[in-house]
Amino acid sequence: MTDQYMDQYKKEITQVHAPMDLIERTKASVREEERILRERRGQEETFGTAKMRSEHKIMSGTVEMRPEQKIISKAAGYADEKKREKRSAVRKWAYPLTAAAAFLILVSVSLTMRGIKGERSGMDSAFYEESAEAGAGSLEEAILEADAGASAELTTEGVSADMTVESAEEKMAVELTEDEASMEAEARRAENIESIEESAATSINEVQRSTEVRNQAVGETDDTACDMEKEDAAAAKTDLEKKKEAIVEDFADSALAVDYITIEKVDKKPAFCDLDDTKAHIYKGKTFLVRKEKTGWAAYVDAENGIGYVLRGEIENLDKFLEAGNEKLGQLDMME
Amino acid sequence: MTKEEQITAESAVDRYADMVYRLALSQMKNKADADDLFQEVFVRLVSHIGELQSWEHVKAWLIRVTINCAKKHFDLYWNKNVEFIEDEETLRGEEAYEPPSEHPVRGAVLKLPPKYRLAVHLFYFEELSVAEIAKVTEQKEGTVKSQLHRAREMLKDLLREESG
Repeated sequence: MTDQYMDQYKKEITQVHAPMDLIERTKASVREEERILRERRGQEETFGTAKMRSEHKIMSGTVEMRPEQKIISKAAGYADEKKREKRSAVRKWAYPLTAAAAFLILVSVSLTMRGIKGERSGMDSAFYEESAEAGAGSLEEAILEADAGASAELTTEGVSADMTVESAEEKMAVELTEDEASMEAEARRAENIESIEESAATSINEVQRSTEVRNQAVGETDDTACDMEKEDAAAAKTDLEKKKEAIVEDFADSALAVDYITIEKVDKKPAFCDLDDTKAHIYKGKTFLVRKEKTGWAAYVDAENGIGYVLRGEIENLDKFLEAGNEKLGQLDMME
Repeated sequence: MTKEEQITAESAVDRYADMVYRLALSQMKNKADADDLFQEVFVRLVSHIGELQSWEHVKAWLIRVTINCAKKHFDLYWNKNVEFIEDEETLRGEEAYEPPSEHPVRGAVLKLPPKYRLAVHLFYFEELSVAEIAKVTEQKEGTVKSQLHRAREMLKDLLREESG
């Protein structure tokens, strides 16, 4: 059915024609349009070709021109050339100049950024280094001093002991000096501890001071940096305390324990030897009659020379007391 | 190429006047607009005639330009948004286009929406293939097929109404 309609449609449409007047009007319009187009193209061609020809002739110098024409054409050519040059001249220097300017800007920006970064990192590192050096240096110095003092004490005592042993007339003096020496050693020890504490305190103070100075200089508090500094100071303090304890322990453990022993020559056995809580301890071939006292130990021993000695010491550990006591006896034997 | 075969705008008017006129009439709402469209298409041809190498080329070009110019006409703000208070024929002094009563199918086709109308005209009268119609109207082939299908359905209804 649709095909039937479509066939009918074809027939109906075939009967429709464009009116003649319309066709004529259209043709006239078309001809007019063609003419206009032709003229336009002609003008363009003429103009374009003529200009090209004239330029070519002027440049090649083949045309004989009237003087005024020459001037005009020269001027025109010159003007054209000038324009061209100007255009090209502008183009010539514009790009390199722009590139150079961009390069300079980039370099200056990068240098500025580096400078800012460098200053900041330099300031930070300088402060850290200073505080670290101050703190650590003073601590180390204190420790070294303490060690040096301790070792000095050892050597001086040993030397003094050796020197005083040589003459028999100075036995009493030796005893006195020994007592004095022990007292002095104790005093020095106390001084050392005090000095260590002082130096630690000063180092901590210096750390804190340097921190304050740095914060002032920077102008604003850096929480992270402050925290780090506080941690450093705390760490320094704990280190110091550990060092002190170690030094004290060293004192207890070292041969200076001998100084804690007092030795006394006796003609006969003391009364405490007969007490029930007195025990006999054999140490390096010697028999020590040992009794625990309120502070430390007391012992009676018969030395190899047949003289009896009473040893007293404020040492808690019996073995150390015996060791120290034996050493003391040994020193006496050498003296005698 | 012989003189008769030389492709010029004027010879194209002689050759394709009816085709362009029928197409313009099927697209425009009145005869006057169809005449304007007819003239515009051939005047435009003048500046493009050098690009066209064969008559088939010219035919396809004319169809495409007619459709585009008609579309442009309807897309104009004036035509979209201005409604005439009085009848167009009174204003223009010409009658609005109406097919004669003895052409019922044409009448029914003119009642179809413009896209369907165009597809029907190009397919059934100009005997272009679906692919050619799609190329000319810049649509997909599927779209053209569906337009033809719907156009047939609508025509059936319209013609049934008229006959009934």
